[in-house]
Amino acid sequence: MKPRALVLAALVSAPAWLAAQTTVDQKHPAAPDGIVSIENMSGSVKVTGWDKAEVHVKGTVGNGGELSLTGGGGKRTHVEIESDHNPMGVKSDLEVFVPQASSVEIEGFNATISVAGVTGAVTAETVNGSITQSGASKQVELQSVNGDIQVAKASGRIQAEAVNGSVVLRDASGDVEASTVNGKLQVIGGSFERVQIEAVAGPVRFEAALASRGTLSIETVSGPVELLLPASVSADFQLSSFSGRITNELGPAAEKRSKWTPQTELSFSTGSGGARISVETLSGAIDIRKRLP
Amino acid sequence: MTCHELDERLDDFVDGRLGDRESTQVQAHLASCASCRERAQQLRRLLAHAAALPRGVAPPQDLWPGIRERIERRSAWAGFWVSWQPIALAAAAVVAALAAFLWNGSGPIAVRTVAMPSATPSLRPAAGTGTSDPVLAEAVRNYEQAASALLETLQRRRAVLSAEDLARVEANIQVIDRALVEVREALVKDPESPELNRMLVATHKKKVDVLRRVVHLTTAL
Repeated sequence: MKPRALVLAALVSAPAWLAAQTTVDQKHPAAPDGIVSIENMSGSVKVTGWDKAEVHVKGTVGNGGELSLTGGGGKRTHVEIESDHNPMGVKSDLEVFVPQASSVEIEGFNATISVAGVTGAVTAETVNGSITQSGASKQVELQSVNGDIQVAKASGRIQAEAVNGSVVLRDASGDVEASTVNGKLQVIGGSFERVQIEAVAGPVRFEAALASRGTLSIETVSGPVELLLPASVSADFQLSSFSGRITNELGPAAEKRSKWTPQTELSFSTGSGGARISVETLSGAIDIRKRLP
Repeated sequence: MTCHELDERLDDFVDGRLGDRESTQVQAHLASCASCRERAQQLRRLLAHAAALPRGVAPPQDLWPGIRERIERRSAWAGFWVSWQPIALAAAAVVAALAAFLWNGSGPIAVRTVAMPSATPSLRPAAGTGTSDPVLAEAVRNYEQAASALLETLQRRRAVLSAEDLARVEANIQVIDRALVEVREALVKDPESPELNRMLVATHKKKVDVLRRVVHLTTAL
């Protein structure tokens, strides 16, 4: 089939909602380190930091919706898909370029969110959809109910909370609070001052470095916990599982705390100690393994 | 600092646990935002009220030595292990903050117990709080009240959530309820375990956190 015929065939077979979409392309001057807030209840939001003092919004807006791009004259720029009826029925896909030092606040519902190259604070929340953040944001706060969260190379204070989805941090650093109910929670690579992880049933895996006086605290109910640490790690460990097994490649074996209950505990230090690692679980297994160099 | 960011820090601010920089940011926001200022005042009032309650301040004298001994046994881990008192106060604070949140979000509501939307009877927590410690029992009751209020609010907002979304939320609440059953069963075997008692309260808190997040997100619609 010739290219022109292909295009025609594609147009004929395109769904009705696609035909009703409007293409948008708007710009607004913005402070280099201002706040950019974005609301898009359905669809997707892709935010990219750039070196211009300008917010640029491109993409498509669903039928019945209208793009609003406003600046209050100060440091705040607001991007919103406005609709007179149910905003969930307006599926819009937006690509938003913001000054890279901006702080970005994104709110969605049935929306996937991605942020890259923003060095200011990033706050994003959605119900159904994934959230992906990459780049050296100084503060990250991400929340999704039914979606995966991925953070790469952020530093500073990182908060990531999912309910049904997974939380994966790669090559990040600083201070982390992460939680999930059912999804997996992984911290891979990077170095941290403080890590606090809470899971209910999801598995937890920590394969990263701790600062010499850093702290790692993990608590799950039934989710298994796996720590992969270099054999040379200097840390004080405090592990406890009520009914799950504890295996340890870095030190002594765990012992039962009482003959009346199945609870096992293990406290030991490696190297000269310093960092503090605490793991508590009810029925999840705890595995401490040597990380291969 | 946004109102949302302030919400996240309000408990720590009122407790004096924020660093200088964050504390200054919170004070600046409170100076310019009447609703957050009112929320902070409500929280302070509630904490003051909770502190005045005999059972909310400290466990009865006969229980306290045992609890203190358990905590002191782990003195080397003082940063990891906490006394029950802040837990009870935190639970009370959650109820207060929640009341303010629900008031702002959808008008005043009465906090009362409602049935889980679809939890099977076998998943329902057993009668009682699951802990023999009166301070923790109070904390659990506070969290249960908060969860009930949030579930009721969520029920009222069913129209904005698809059946699929509601099913997912309910499935996750059931995961947490199953976890609570597990913790309670373990507490029957080892009622004085500080880890299990703390896990019980932490899991209740998790349930409230999840529900609060979903309700907050549905409020945007």
